[in-house]
Amino acid sequence: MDRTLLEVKDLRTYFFTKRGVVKAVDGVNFSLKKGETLGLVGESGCGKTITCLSLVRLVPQPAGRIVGGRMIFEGEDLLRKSEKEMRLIRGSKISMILQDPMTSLNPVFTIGEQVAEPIRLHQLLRGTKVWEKVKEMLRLVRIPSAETRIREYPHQMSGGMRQRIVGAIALSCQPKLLIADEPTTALDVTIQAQFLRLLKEIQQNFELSMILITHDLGVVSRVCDKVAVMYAGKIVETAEIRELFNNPSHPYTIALMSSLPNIDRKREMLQTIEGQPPDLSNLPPGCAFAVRCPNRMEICSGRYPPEVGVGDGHYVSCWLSTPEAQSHG
Amino acid sequence: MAEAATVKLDVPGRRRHSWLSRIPWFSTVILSAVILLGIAGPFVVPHDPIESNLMDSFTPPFQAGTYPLGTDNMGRDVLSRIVGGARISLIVGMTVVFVAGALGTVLAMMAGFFGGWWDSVIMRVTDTFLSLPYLMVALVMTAVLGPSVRNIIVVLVVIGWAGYARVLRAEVLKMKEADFIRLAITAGASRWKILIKHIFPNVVNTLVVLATLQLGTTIIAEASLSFLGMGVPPPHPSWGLMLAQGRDYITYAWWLCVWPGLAIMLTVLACNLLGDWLRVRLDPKFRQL
Repeated sequence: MDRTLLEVKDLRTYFFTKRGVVKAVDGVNFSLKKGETLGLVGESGCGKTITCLSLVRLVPQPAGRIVGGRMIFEGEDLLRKSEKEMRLIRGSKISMILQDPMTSLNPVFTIGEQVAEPIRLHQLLRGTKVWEKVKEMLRLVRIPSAETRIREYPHQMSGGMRQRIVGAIALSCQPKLLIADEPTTALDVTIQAQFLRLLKEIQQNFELSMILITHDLGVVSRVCDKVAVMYAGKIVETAEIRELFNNPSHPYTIALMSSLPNIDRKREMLQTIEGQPPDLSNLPPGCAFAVRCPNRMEICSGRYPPEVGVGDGHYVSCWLSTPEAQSHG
Repeated sequence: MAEAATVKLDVPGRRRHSWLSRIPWFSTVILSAVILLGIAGPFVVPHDPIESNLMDSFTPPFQAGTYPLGTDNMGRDVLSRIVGGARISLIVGMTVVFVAGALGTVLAMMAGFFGGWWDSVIMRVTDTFLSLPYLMVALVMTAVLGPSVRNIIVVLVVIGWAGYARVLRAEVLKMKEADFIRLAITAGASRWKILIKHIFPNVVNTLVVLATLQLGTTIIAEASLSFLGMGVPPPHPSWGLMLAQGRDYITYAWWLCVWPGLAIMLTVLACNLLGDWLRVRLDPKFRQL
């Protein structure tokens, strides 16, 4: 049986602004199997969030538009769905967790009300069955004494608890795909680990696929099966997690990794990547990373490199990795 | 040591505050009095508020007899007229607050939520109405329509809705960008559902507070218009009208101005205090204290 859940091909999402066309997502390809976790890594403003908003067709209107590509989800192209069909998919088959748990819950409703909403909407349960389900979900995300907590308001909970409640809302209809947009950024480190472990566990129990947006390679190494590194609206390198950490090939990936603190190198300044991410409305014709790349070659600023395989499931878009470059030595 | 263990800590907990202490007594008493008198007024007052009795004119208050608050230049009972005025203030205040509030809220939600073209048109109209001097508008409108209770309501609604629209639109805009709204959209809720179920409950606090405050302002506005002769036509009892008529005799019949003035002040103060109290109580953060 085909285990592929989602296949994104050549997705392009542009913003049409006064200053010109901003290519926020510019030809992104990836695929996701059932039960798999993909980490989407990159600096801020490189198109991670817009990629995920495109998946649920919620690109900020009216400037943003998906201008091309295909998103095959369970064998059907999401771009061909009507708005009504999309609404049925959102929340039931694809759901999201956002970055800040403090603002992700509606302050005027109780926790129970908010967990119940998608259950009523998508599972069409009513009455006590809804509340049974709500309690079940709260127990699933380890909220202690769920019976009393469902009557409380968001401000009465800690950040970690709120994020787990957001998780409960997202998971309440047994989605196939969970998009988590920096779910741990606003949590402190111990709570981060706890939350990631919980996500991982739930994921294994439900055969849930997950796209995890993050800029934290530490989080990626703990949770993800696969990583896609994004730069300026394009995926520059994808690989299985081990392969990527053992054998990073794109200079940007290498730079990202060397800017992580390393326990073996003491008292050393952390490395940074010189320069700024490029202006997405005015991209150079070649590789967008070329201006910041330590190994820049002449061809880099002229033409965008093709995607080449450098290992099992490991693809990279860089002239350094093309056969020509290898043969030149 | 044993003694120390038995010391009771004076913990400020929920038990120490009974529900009685959490009610704004001043507002409750004044406003219920105004509402009750407004409804039952004609049946409980000692005299007809319009009927004049020139024999008894300028009776001072607190004198033995049937005029506890005195009589005016026409010998009409001031107490009966104050009670009658409560009814007019209530009718005008409530109607204006309700109609203007509903109109302003609907327009604000449309403008804030749908944005774009709707927003521009509605907000420019709002700006226009906010920049109108209400006395001038009232003057023109009463000149055209003629002074009556109905027309004063129309005038005040026409002027009153814009304040709601401006404040609530800002609230709606703020809510629209909130993460929980984005999550509700990604959970598959439709636009109308988002607007009614998620955004409206979040602006209803502001709406209620605005409405109580506007109740006070409206009562003052009605009194001012009546005072200027552009509101409730005589001989109907209106607090503003009573003030205007009492002004001529203020040097020797102080009660003609003091009682209606006091009625206006207490009612408006009660409205404003209620608004303050509601603002705190409607915040979910204080709901379970």
